[in-house]
This record gives sequence, C-alpha cells and structure tokens, in this order.
Amino acid sequence: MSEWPKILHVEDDPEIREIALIALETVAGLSVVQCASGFEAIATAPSVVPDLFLLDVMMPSMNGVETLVALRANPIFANTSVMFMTAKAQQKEVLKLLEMGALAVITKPFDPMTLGQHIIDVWASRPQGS
Amino acid sequence: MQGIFDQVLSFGTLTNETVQLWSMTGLCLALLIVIARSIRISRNKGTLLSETAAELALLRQGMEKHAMINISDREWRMTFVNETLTTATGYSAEELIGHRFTEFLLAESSTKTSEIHAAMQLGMTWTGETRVLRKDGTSFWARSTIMPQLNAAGVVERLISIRTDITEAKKRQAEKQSRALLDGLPDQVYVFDTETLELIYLNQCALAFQQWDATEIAGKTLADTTNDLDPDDFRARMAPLRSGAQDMIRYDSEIRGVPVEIVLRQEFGFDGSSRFIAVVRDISERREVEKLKADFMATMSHELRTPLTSIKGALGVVSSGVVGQLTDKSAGMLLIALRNVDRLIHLINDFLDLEKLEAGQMDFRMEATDLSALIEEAVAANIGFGSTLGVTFATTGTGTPHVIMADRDRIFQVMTNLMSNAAKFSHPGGTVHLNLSATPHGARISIRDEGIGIPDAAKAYIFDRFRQVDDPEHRQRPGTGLGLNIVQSIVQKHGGRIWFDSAPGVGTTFFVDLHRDLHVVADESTLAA
Repeated sequence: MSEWPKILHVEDDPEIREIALIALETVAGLSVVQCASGFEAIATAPSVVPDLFLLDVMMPSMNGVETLVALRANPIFANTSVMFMTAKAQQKEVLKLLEMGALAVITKPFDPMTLGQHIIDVWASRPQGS
Repeated sequence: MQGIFDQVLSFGTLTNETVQLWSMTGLCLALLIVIARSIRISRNKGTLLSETAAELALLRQGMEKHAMINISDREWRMTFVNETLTTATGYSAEELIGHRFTEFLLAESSTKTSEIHAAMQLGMTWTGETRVLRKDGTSFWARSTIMPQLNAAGVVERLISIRTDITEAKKRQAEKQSRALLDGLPDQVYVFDTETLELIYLNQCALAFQQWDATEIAGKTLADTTNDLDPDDFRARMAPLRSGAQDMIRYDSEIRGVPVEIVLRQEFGFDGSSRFIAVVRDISERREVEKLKADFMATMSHELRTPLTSIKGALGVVSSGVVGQLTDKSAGMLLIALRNVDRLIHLINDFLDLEKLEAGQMDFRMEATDLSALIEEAVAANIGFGSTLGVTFATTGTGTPHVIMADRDRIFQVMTNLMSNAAKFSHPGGTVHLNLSATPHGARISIRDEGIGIPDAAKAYIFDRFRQVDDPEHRQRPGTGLGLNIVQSIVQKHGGRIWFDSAPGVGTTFFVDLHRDLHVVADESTLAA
C-alpha cells in the first residue's frame, strides 16, 4: 500500500466527486482526500501532504491550471506529481497540460472500474528522481 | 417628296457624285425642306443655281464629317460607303462594296434585322441603335437612320443608312447606372486596369474606407489602396483570371488590420478594354461568429460530458457489484443503460470531431509515426471489443518499423474505427486481417474482414454522413453513422486516400494509402505549427 500514492482530488461537481471516491477508494483501494475547489485544495494540502494531485481542469473561479500554479508556490509541493481530468478533450489542451508536467490527462467521462488502476499504472511508471 | 429629291439632284453640278448627294438628303429631312424652299425661292427669283449647289456641297461636307453613310441597292448590297464609315470600321471601301451591311457589319440579332427589313418594305424610315462590327472584331454602338427609296411600283430601289457613333454616350450611361448600383453596396468595390492596375473607379464604400473623394482616384493604382500589395505578385496571382482559366478568384486577406474576403472578376468595357472588379467584404463579423461557434462547441462538449461522467460512473460502479449484489435482471438492465451511455458518448465525440473537421479547427500534429507500432497498439486496444463479438485480429507486415509523417492520434482513431467496423460486421469466430505494406510514396494499410459485406446498392454512400446500410443484418450492428465520414476526412487531411472492396457474404477490405512525407493538405492552416 505504501508505494501507492495518497491522492488529493479537486473537483467542483459533487456527483463526480462521489463516483470518483468510490472508483478510487472502494474499487482501487487508494487513499483519497477530496476538495470542492482550488481554494479549498490550497488550504487543505499542507495538512494532507499528498503524493499526487488529481485536478479537474474546468472549475469556476479557479481552474485546475491556476490551482496547480498556486499549489506549486508552496515549496513543499514544488515537485508533487500531478494528473489532470478534463471533459474538454481538445488535443491542444491536452498537450498544454502535459507540457506543464502532468503525468497524465484523464478524459471525462472516465470508466470508474479502471480509473484507479490507470492512475496506479501511470504512477508506477513515472520518471523518478525529480 | 420624291419629285423634290429629283429636282434637287438634277440641279447638282457634281453629277458623278449625285448618289452621294442623294444619300445626305435622307438624314436631314428638315434641312431638305429648307433647301427645297431655297430652290423654290431661287426659281421664283431666278437667282443663280450655283448658289444652291454650293450650299449642298457644304451640307454634304458637313454630313460626311459627321456621319457614317452607306447606300445599298435593292439586293441590300452596298454600292457606296463614305470615308467616315470606312475609317470607323477599319475596312476599305473596296472590301465593303458588294456586301450586305446586315451580314457584314451588323452585330445584331436577327430580330432587329427583320425589323429593319419590314420597315423598308413598307417604305418607312427606321431609326434605332445598332452595334457595328469593326474589321478587328471589336464593335461600337451607332444610332442609325435607314431610309428606303421606292420606285414608281412601290418596290425598294435603294437604301440609305446614316449612322453616328454613340459608344461613348452609351458607355457613360451604362456606367452611370452600374455605378449608382455599386455605390449603394455595403461592400467595397474597386475597378482597375488589368495591366497597369490603375484605379478606374471606387464605390462610395471603398472611397470612405480609403478616406478619399472621387477626384483623388486619378493617377492612383491598386498599390495605393493597401500597404502590403506587391504588384508583380498580384499580377501573377491574377493570371488565371486574365487567361480565362478562372471566372472568379476569391480569397481571404487583411486590409489595414481588417479581415476581408476579396472576390475578383475580369470585366470587358463597351470599348473592349479589360479591367478587374474587386469586391472587398469586411468579414470581421463572420470571424467573430466563427469564434463564438468554436467556443460554444467547446462549452457544449464540457457541459455534455460532465453529466455523462456521472451517469457512466454511477452505472459502472453499480453494475460492477462493488456497492452491493445485483439480481441478474438488474445487472442486464444496467448493461443496456451502460451500452447506450457509451453510444451517446461516442456520438458526441463523433459530432464534435465533425464540427472541428468542417471548421478546419481539428488540430493535426504531423510527426514521424511508426505505423507498425501504431497498428499493434490499435490491435491491443481493440482486442477487448473484438472478443465480445468473438472476433480476433491478425496482423502482417508490422514486423519492422514503417515510419511516415502523420498525426498519430488521428490515424489511431482511423484504425480503431475501421477495426471496430470490421469486427462488428464479421461473423462470430471470424478474423480481421490487418496488413501494412510499402508503396512508392508511403504506406498502405488494409483491413480485411470475412463478414457480411456491403450491399452493392450501399457502396455509393458508405462514406456519407448518417447513412447506414438499411437491412436487418446491418441494423443489428448500430453505430453513429458518422465514423466512416470522419475517417475519410482525416485520411484526406493527411493527403491520403481511402477506398474499399466488398462482396456481400464474402467480406470487405478497406484500404488506406498514406504519404511518407508531409503532403500538402488543402488547408494549410489546419496544420498545427
């Protein structure tokens, strides 16, 4: 278990949060803390110290990218791994997110039965040492 | 009147030119009355006949200078042409004498010719506008008066025609009309010489845009209308228009920061001179609408996917049984719901792809792509789907790398689509054969199934949107009806080609040819930088 990441999941839609929680915790057995906004994530992260940020991209007032920038401002999270989730499956968008250093960009709708395993696989093959 | 004519003519001292004198009388009946009166006066008063002759000679000279005159015989063949006519038409008198004016010089419809004939037969004078052909093929407009001379039996003996060139007047009138029309247009209109690019006319809208008044056009050329016009480059671009290879050239450009659509045509004036007419339309509003549409599509994409994420997620979790055991019936119902959610997602994806392709907004990232690896990956991704149908995939030709320039993800999409089609239309237990081979210019991928085949009647529309083969066997295998249309668009955007062979009951093979190097795609702007 210890080699699996502790996840901070940020998603504004409460229903998607609920399904993601089942997919990650119940189905995949991952440890997850959820936040409803970027602001909440910034406030919560220091006490959680997650191994992986899982950020929704399109969120009101503070989007996923802005949230990441704000989180990175804290030295503790300068190198924390990040994955994005987006319903806007534009190739350009996806590339931009990958260029920001995201390990993966997960497109919505996701399959709740494979989401956790997919995250574990990507996590396991992440480049080490950074 | 005839009697007076004869008298006039008989007084003429220039007897060998009597015919010419006669000719002039036709035009100016009013003058003739004056002359006739003067003759009467001269008779009455017994003054010198030579005075009248001198007057007539003067009159003749004036007529000669002013008008084109010709006389024809009863066969309508010209027996006399004056110098003004020969100068105007470019023919010599010898070339014209003996020919019929109507056949030789008249560029008119036969209706006008028969109208003139009818008037002559009735002994009536005909007046109207006719177009006269020059020897060099050009033409001019003439106001014509044609008058018959009847013999005692009332039969046409001779005809006299007098014409004046009215091309200029007509041109001015026509231009006045068309310019009044053009001035009312909300688009900019520029008329300029095809060779020198000198401006001939700008409509109100164009003048306002350039901040000129109409008098300032003189001496300016097209290069004065915009900063970034290279005259030689422009002439080269307009060559197909000048040669007649194209009727119209249309392109989008920018003038002083304003996005515009430019439509160019070549026009010929009354005098045969050629010029270009450019209609420049401000399309900033259209661009704005296009942007709004793209934004709307992106938003819709997001708005549709968000609830679908919940639906698919909830159904998936419940049907997996992790939150509680299900009865077989409930599990079956949930599977139907799940399958249809997937279908809906697929449809939305296809629809958005089509929109993007149509608007030229689909991003193509052309990069060196190994087709062998790509095909193997596509097989791995589709094994699951194939196994639910009892179909397996077999590949040949993918043993060594085969690298071409392509958008990896899009070609993957093409492969997935063709493979799932092949599996869908195969019989359970069937195999779908994929082959990769080299061509002189790149690569060919074939996807062959041993399925039900495409009916002959459907072959013509298989790539059309929302067209699916309408028979029970095909209806059991639903799709969005957009897949092949998207596949075809993607292949074409790569400069490639897609086609198929199919025999009902035997199977179908789809072929995709792709170029090794980056092929010039019709719309370069669709290529990401």
